[in-house]
Amino acid sequence: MKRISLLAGALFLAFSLVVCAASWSMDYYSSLGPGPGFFPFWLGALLSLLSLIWIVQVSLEKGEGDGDVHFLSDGDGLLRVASIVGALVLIVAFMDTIGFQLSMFAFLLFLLIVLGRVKPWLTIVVATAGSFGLNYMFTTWLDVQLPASSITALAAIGL
Amino acid sequence: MDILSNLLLGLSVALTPENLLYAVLGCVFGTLIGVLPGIGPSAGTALLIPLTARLPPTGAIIMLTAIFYGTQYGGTITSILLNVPGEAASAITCIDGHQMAKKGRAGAALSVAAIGSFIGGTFATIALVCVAGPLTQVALEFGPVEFFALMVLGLSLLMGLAGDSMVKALMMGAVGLLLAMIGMDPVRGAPRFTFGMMELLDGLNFVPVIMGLFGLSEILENAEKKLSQSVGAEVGSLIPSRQEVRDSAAPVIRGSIVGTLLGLVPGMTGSMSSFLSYSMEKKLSKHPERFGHGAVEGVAGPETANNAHANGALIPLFTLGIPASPTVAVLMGAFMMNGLIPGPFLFREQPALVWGVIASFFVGNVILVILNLPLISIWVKILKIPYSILFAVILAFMVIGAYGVENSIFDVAVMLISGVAAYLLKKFDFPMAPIVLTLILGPVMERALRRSMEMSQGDISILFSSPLAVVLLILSAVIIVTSSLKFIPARKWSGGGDAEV
Repeated sequence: MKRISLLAGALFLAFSLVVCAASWSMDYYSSLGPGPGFFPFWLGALLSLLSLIWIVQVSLEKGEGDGDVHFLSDGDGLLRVASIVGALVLIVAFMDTIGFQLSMFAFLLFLLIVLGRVKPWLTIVVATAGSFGLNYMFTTWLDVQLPASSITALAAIGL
Repeated sequence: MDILSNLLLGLSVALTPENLLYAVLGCVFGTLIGVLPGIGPSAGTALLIPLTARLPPTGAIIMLTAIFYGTQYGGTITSILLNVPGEAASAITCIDGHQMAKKGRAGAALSVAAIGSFIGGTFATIALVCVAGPLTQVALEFGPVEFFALMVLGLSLLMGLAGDSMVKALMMGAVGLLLAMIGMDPVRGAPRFTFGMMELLDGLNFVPVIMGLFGLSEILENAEKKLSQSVGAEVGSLIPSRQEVRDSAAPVIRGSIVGTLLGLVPGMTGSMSSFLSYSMEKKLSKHPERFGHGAVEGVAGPETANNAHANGALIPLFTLGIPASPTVAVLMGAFMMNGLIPGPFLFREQPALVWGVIASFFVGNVILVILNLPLISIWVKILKIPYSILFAVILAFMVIGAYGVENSIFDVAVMLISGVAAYLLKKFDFPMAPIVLTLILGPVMERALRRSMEMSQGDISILFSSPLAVVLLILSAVIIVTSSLKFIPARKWSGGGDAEV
């Protein structure tokens, strides 16, 4: 855990230095007072300082710190987290192409299979209600337009 | 007289059928969030903001505030029946509430909690009605200089939300401020950190960021742990005995006062109010040995206090525009999403909206009592839905919610990135509350500071030119210093001077 904390501290430090560098290219100060770069620069500097303090604090911790604590859980827990994140990445990547209804149906089907042991008929019902049902509810009742497929054949059949 | 006419104006708005419906929906959603272990009030409120996006502003705010204080009611149900707190402020209720349930008095415990919550919430709302006028009159005198000082005071709350490490809280505060800088500079319109992306020109949308920080990260944490379904106790009779009513009366009164007062204090959470109320009741009791074995006072006091706290925490938001807790900050973001800046000007510019929302608190508290007592069996049934289905459906709503804000898949990506980042940051015990607070207050503060500096042609001494601003800045300094003291290890000096930490 200590090594991961040090790595995180280093990432924060690098991020803050990038912020400082990027804000330096903006107007820092003018006769009217602070420019667009004033606040970001000092925030970047503050974050650098705080990151350094955190790195020092972690370095001074005795032993491995929270040595018993795994940063990411093993096995099933990690698989469930990765499944949710992966499914969300896929929905971001494909929702505009295959449309909300199909992508959400696949998303829910996948999650219900991975997250828990739900009966197959219930999985299908929830996935259908959560995709086609929600699409109907939001577009018809709440006036929220959800993306339709950009593939002509799919769009033609209302997907 | 002014108070009465304002309240009547508010009631005329809150009691329209449309606004009543929004209040009912808000109470239902709030109770649902409170009932579900693993989804806290901040996450729940953030998740449901998109649902209100198409509503008229008054209806949207009535619904969101109802969601906010409704969570406090819902959290009690799981605490009493399952010994699992639905949200942190109800954790202490597990001790005696669940013991009462084991003795077949779950219904009585739920009744006492619901009635206490109603009295506490109503008491705090009356306090809001009474102080709103005088406080807003003072705040209306504010110019950019005083406003900047007020925002500094708001940001000094960070110290109260620091958790175990001030460094980590400040780091998160800085990150929130940096996220708030993305987009067009508020004074000159120059783009900052947009990396040539059109979607970032208007800045990061608040809603997907908050949905990710609170909602998605909580779901990921729960998915990692895999929550197991619990079997609840039987509810039994809802009518408390005479003795239980007598024993609850004083704790309810004290809980109302404690919760309202602590709600006013920046950085205090609802759980602090309920914990303080519990320990106070135990200390004042003639039979402290009953606590932990089903003492009704251990349910009445804390449950009243956490609801009074929830409504009391809205006083600084409505009168000064300062969010006193993370959930109130989320609520403030919802105001801003509807084009409303909470604070004194809102009372002057939109009195019907403000007083309508305040009056809806009275109505909402009545609705919540009805929802929580006669309909208790429905909430118990909801607890039997497998978490895998609940989480999958919540994730679907999150995708729609993030997308629906601007009809953009980019916002779903922002929610995803924020959620994963928050999940990883929580592994290092970084608190999320400072990010929300600075994300919301940062741009307002920057605008006020730069306007002040423009007024003085760049002379920084203008910030100390107003006595009111100086008082606010001193108050901020006091909060920062006193909050910092808890991070200084206590030292006991003994003999030769070896320090024992």
